[in-house]
Amino acid sequence: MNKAWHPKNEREEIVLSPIHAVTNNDLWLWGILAAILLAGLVSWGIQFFVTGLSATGLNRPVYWGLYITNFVFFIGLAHSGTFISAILRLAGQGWRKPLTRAAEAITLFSLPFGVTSILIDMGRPDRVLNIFIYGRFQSPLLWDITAVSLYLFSSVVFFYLSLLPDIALCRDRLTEVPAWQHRMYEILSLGWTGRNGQFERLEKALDGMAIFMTMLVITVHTVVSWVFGMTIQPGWHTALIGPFFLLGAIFSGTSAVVIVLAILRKAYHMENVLPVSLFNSLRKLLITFTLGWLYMMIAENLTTSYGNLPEEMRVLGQKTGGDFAIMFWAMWILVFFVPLLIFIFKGKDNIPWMVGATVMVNIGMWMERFIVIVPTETRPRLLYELTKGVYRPTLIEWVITASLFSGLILLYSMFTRFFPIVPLWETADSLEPEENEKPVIGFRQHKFGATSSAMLKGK
Amino acid sequence: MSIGYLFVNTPGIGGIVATVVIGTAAVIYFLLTRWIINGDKKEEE
Repeated sequence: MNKAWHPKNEREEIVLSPIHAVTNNDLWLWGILAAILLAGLVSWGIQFFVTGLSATGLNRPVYWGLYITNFVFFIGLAHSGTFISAILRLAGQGWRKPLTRAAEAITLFSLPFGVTSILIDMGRPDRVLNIFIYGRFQSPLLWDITAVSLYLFSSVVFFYLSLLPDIALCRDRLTEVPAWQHRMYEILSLGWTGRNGQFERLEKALDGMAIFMTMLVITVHTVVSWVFGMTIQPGWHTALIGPFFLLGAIFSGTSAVVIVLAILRKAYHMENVLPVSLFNSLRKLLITFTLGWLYMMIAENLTTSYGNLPEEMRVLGQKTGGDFAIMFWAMWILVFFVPLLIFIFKGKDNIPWMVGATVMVNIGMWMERFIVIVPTETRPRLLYELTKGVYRPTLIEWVITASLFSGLILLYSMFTRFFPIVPLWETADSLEPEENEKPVIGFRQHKFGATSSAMLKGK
Repeated sequence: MSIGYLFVNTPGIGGIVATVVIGTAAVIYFLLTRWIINGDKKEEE
């Protein structure tokens, strides 16, 4: 088979080095994560075959708990890739290039766990087919399944297309890998040869898809929020819930990108490939998102408290001084107060501080999802007169939750051992083939007239 | 009953629309991938 032409990239060796061998440390990590995943499967098996949803802490009137919290959180996490790749691509932010794949991979691997959370919450996953068989357009659940399915599908395609030239590179460069792995590269590269026309069409397609993905990312999380917002329950029935969910999603997703980048940088010795300047750029975005989150929180809660409607105030009371007060105020500290101080005063040129802050943001954002969902159910409209709901998650729910996160980390870490986690063709130094590389048809010119290495340096 | 009411409320129609949306996306993505891979194919031949 003829080898393809690949744009020159002086970081190629560093980026490909994690793919050469799976280490014992990897196997240990994967083993532990797989064991947690297995524990989750067993727990789900108990819930599915033996006890039903009575294995959970869900009971009237609290019908949604940890599983739906996980669903919203995972869908939010998935916004990282689309934000970095699509929205920043449209904005012409060249610095995003080295981190696009790491961010997109978060999208790719967290979405399935979001969908799985829904199936677990249903108790009877087979009934998801009812949405297709009996689905009515007035149901936000139908909007949800349509938007999330399309988003998952489109994310896979967007991710795969941008990965294509690098899969071909693996096919041509990594000849010493096991035969099955090489065969996998051959099949997945679809005969990519690196022709000028292929690159041109690829960039056109990615530009076009970026517009579509941007629309989709806004739609998806808004529709997810409408599952709550289209009810008339206090705390949920607000027009602000869509933008609030969306902002939170991009906030937690971008924070997750910082964590992942720092781990990749350290574990795979990619200090030169993922420079500190990337973290500084993300830091500026995160400061904006933190303040945006504050704005949304104040707008939502101030409007609610001014209205002073009894049903709304009961839910607000549950959050600020009731059963969920500790979590509510802890969320404020974890999402806003401490991270903002770190981002402003400590985060510049300091990756450990950035990681600490973004870990806090993600824990806090998970709590925020819980705070949005559960307090409303414990003090619902109408039913409140009959019962006050209580929700305490059971061990089975916690084990399943842990297994979902383990599954995400497992898939992600395995991916980094088989595919380049930094896009080599997008960050190439030289986009012109050498004379001795002919006959290559033409050469690619960078659309912005600057080399990617210059962009990496933020020039 | 208006057509709009029937479209929104009849069980099953929503499922059909959802399937059509996802199916159409599948076809478009397949054609898009093929179009990219075939870029400059004639020149190479």
